[in-house]
Amino acid sequence: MTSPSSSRFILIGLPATGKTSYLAALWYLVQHEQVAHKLMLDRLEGDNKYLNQISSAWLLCQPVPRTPTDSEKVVSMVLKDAASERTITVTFPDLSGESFSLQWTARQITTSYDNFLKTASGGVLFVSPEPHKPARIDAAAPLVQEMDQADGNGDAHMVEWEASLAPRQVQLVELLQFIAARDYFKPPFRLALVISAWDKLKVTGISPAKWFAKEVPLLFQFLESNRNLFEYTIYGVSAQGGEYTTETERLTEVDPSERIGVVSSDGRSSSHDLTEPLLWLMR
Amino acid sequence: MSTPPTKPTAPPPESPQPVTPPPATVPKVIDLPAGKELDDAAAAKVQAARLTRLIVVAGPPGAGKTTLVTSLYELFQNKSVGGISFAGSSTLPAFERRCHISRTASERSQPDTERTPYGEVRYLHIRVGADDLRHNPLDLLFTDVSGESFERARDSISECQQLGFLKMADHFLLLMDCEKLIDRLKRWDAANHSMSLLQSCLDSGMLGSNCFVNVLWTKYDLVEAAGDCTHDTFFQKISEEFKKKFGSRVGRLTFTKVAARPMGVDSLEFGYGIPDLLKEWSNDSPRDRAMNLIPEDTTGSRESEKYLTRHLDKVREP
Repeated sequence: MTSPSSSRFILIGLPATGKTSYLAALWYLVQHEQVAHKLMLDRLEGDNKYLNQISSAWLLCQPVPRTPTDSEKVVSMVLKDAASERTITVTFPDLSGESFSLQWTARQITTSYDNFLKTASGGVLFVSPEPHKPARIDAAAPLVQEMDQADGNGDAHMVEWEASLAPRQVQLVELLQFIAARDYFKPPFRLALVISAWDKLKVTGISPAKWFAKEVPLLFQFLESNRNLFEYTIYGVSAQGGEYTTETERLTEVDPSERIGVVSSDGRSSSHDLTEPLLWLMR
Repeated sequence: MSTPPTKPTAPPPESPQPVTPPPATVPKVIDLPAGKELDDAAAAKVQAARLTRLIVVAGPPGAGKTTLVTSLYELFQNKSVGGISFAGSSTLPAFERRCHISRTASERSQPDTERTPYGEVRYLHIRVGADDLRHNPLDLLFTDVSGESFERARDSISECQQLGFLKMADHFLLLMDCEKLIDRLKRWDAANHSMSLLQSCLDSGMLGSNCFVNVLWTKYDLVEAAGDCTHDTFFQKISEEFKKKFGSRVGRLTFTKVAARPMGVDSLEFGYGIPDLLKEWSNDSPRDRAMNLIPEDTTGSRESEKYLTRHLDKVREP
C-alpha cells in the first residue's frame, strides 16, 4: 500500500456559516455511492466519533451541534481520487465561528490555529447569504426617522460602537489580511469560497460569482486586487438541502446525498459533489 | 472452627475534601495588529515598505475632514470607486469606529461623524488597486488631525512647523465648509481663514511646489439645496483669489465640489466628488514627477531605495 499524500485545509468562517454542516454532509457523502462524487472514502482511520456525531445530526435533519469556542477538533479523512486512484488524507480543524469572530474583536489567534495555518495547503472560506454590507442611516433615513417618530426616541438612545457590529465582509477581509501578514505566508494561497445555504439564493437565478460581487463587494474587490496573494474560486453550496424546520418532508423523500447541492461559480453546472471544492484546492 | 463473620466496618466518616477545579485550559494566543489609526512611526513604516501617497486633509473643525475619508471607505463597501478597487487596509477597526454613528447599527436617526480630538497626529490607511493605475497596488495614507490643530497652524508659523507630516504631503486638501460659505455674514471670514492656513503652510516652508493643493467645497449639497446661483459666483471669486495668491507657489491648484454625505438632495449621490478625487490621488503625484527627473541608476530598484530618494527630495525642498 502506498502511503497517502496529505492535504491540510483550513475551514474559515464566521459563526453559523455552515462549516460543520459541510463537514457532516461530506463525511456521509464520501462513505456512500448514492450520487456521483470524485473523492470517496478509502478507509477509516483513527477516531471518527465527532464526524459520526455530526453526520448523524445531519441525517436526522437536526442542527449539527455548534462547535464550542474552546474546542479545536481536528478531523481527518483518508480519501481516494476515483480518477487517479491517488489516496489523499485531508485534514481540517473544525474551529468555531466564534473563534474567527474573536480574531476580529480580540485581535488574537490561538497558537494551534497558527500552527495549522503554517502547514495548510489551502482554505475553504464560508460566506453566509446574510447581509454583508453596512446599512447607512442616510440611505435608510426616511424609514429610520419614521420609526423614531413613532417611538419618540430620536437620538436619545444610541448603541455604542463595538467591534462585533462591523459588517461581515469587513471581518472576512481582516481574517484574510491576518493570514497574509503571517511571516510564513507563501502566496498564492488557494481559497475555495463556499456561499452556504445556496438553496435560499438559487431561486433568484443569479450565479454564485455574480452574487458574491454584488452582495460581498468589499471582499470581492479585496480578492480581485490581491490575486497574487489569494487564488480563489466560488461555489454555491447547500449542505443541508433546505430548512430543517419547514422542509423536513421534502428532504427525507430523497437519498441523503441527493440533498446536497453544489453550483459552479458561473452557475452553469450543478452537482451533489461536495468534494469539488477540495479537488480544486488540491489541483 | 470457623471464624465468625466479621462485621463489616463502617467506612470512616468522610472528611470534606477540598474541591479542586480542573485546570482551565487557556489556549495560547498570538496578538494580532490592533488595527487602530496609525501614529507617525507606523505611517513611516507603511511609506517605507510600499509606494504610498500621503493625503493631508486640512480644514477648520466641522468642515468634514473625517467624513470625507470615511465616505470613501463607505463607497468601497458597495462597489469599486471610479474603477479603483479596495485592496486592503491596516486600519479597518479605526474606520469602523468612525463610521458607526452614520450607520443604522448605532440606532441613531441622523448620521454624524465624531469629532477628531485635538492631540497627536494619526493616519488612516487604504490600499487601492486597478489595472490601469501607474502603481498597482498603491497605499493611501490620510491624516486624521483635529481642526484645532489647523487653526493653530493658521495662527502661528511655529505651530505650523510642528506639523511635520506636511513636508511629506503629496496632496493637500483644504476643506472649505459650504455651510459657512453660504452664510453671507460668515463666508468672507471662512474664506479668509482657509487662505491664511494655506499661506501659513507655505510661508513656514512646510508646503511648496512639491505638493498638489486641492480646495474642496465640502457639504456642497447645502449649496444645491439653497438653490441660489450667487453662491457659485462667490466660489468663483474666491477661486480666482486663491489662484492669484498661491497658484505659482504649489505644484498644482485645483477646486472640487464635494458632498460626502448629502442629505435631502436627490441630485447628488453619496460621496459626490470623491471618485474624481480618488482618481487624482491614485494617478498623479508631484513625487512621480520628481522621480522621473532622477536617472534610473541612482535610484535603485528597491522600494526602500525609491522611498529614500523621494524622502531626500522632500527634505531638499525649501
